[in-house]
Amino acid sequence: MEEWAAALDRGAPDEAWDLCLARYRRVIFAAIRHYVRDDDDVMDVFARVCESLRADDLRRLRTWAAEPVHRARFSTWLVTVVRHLAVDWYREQHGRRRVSALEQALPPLQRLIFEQVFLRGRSHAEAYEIIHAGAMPALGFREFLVALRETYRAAAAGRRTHAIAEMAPGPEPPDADGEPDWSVAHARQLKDAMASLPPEDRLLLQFYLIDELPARDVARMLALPNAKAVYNRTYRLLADLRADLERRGFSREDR
Amino acid sequence: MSNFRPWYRLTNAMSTHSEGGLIALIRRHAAETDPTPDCLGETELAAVVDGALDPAVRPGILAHLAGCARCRRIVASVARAVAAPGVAATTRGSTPFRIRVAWIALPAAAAAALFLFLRPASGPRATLDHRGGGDDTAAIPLGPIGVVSDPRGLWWSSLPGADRYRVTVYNDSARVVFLREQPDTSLRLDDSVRIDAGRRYLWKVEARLGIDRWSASRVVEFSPAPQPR
Repeated sequence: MEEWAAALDRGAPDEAWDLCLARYRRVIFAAIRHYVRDDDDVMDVFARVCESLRADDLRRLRTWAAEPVHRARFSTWLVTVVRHLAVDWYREQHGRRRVSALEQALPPLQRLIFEQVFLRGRSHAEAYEIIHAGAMPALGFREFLVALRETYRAAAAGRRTHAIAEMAPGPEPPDADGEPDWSVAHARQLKDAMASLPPEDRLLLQFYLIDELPARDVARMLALPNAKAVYNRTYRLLADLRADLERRGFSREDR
Repeated sequence: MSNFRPWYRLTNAMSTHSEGGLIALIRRHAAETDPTPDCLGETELAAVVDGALDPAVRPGILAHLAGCARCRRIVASVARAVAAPGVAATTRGSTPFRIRVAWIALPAAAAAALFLFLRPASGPRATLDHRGGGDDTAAIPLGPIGVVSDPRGLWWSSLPGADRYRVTVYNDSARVVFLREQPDTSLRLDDSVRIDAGRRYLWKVEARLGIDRWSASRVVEFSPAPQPR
């Protein structure tokens, strides 16, 4: 049992907090600095994290300590909490300003995309549907994808890079240059093919190919023996996916 | 006439000599799925990252993850953070013996180190001009800031549209020593609030702009000046 949890157990919450902070202060700051680059923002997010962990008589820490078996490391849990609070803090900072400096510099379409994807957390497909149905009925999906990527680039160029990028619900889309025009319906066909895979196989493709996590991390998370197992399974799944897409078919277009 | 050639593109991607095309298609179009209502809590998310799920709940959690872009994104983000050099260096375990020996000394030392880490830089960064100057969406703490002879009088700018203010003061252990909500833009800490000369304190003010909507100022530091002998 951790020292701070033992102090909490014997009814000494102040001592528990001091012990927890002494032991994990560096983890908390390192995690904050991973997401937040501006020094002033680090300070503000740290205050937010401390407030949250101390709130309601250390309710969050008590909930963790009360778990009969701790499977995850406490430090990993802390990093998860820090990420959550840092993103919330940034959403509040951006949400309360009418238009941030970043948004002011964006062209109209990208500003709409930034609002839908980064501030409101909508998926890329949702954002397209909303913008297409509202402000820009003539907007093509390809044009949207190009502007989406430019918006991600603009968000990544700022000082507050990491936290703003975390506000988006999905990863940065790949380059659209040279790609043919895809309709939303065809994107849906690919999603349906992915959805027919068992959950663990879907997760493997998503974590390894889309999120681009290292194979060893994917192996750990999905209880595979090693990175090689991730590679082998990925190739098998891609072959299966190709076969499935052939069966579903994409309509041929006549010239 | 359309230049849309998904079949052509797909057959290219199906080349046995190149996985790149299909992978690119998956990345472009399969990255997002609709969120589900039963999203995972922080404990479960951390357990996924550490590969430490309880076998009894594992199938259900992985099934949720496979269908929830939000939770998946959090898992990927935390996995990257935990593996980042700056974070990984802090999570390499220390021995329980070292903790038992040092725990008495650590809180005081850590508190001092905490403030060295936390304090604003000297000079312009400690001034009002840097701290939220020109921001019309939050109240601005006006004093005390820095080393002050009177640490008990707190005052801040008013914020148009705000009907109440909530002031929080922290000591150098990040513990809240004072918390109050009020409609005025100044207050005085009474003697029941312990403010020690030479110690460092942080404070902030939040302005209420609507039902359950609060806008927080930057956190500023102050320290009571040592008393003359």
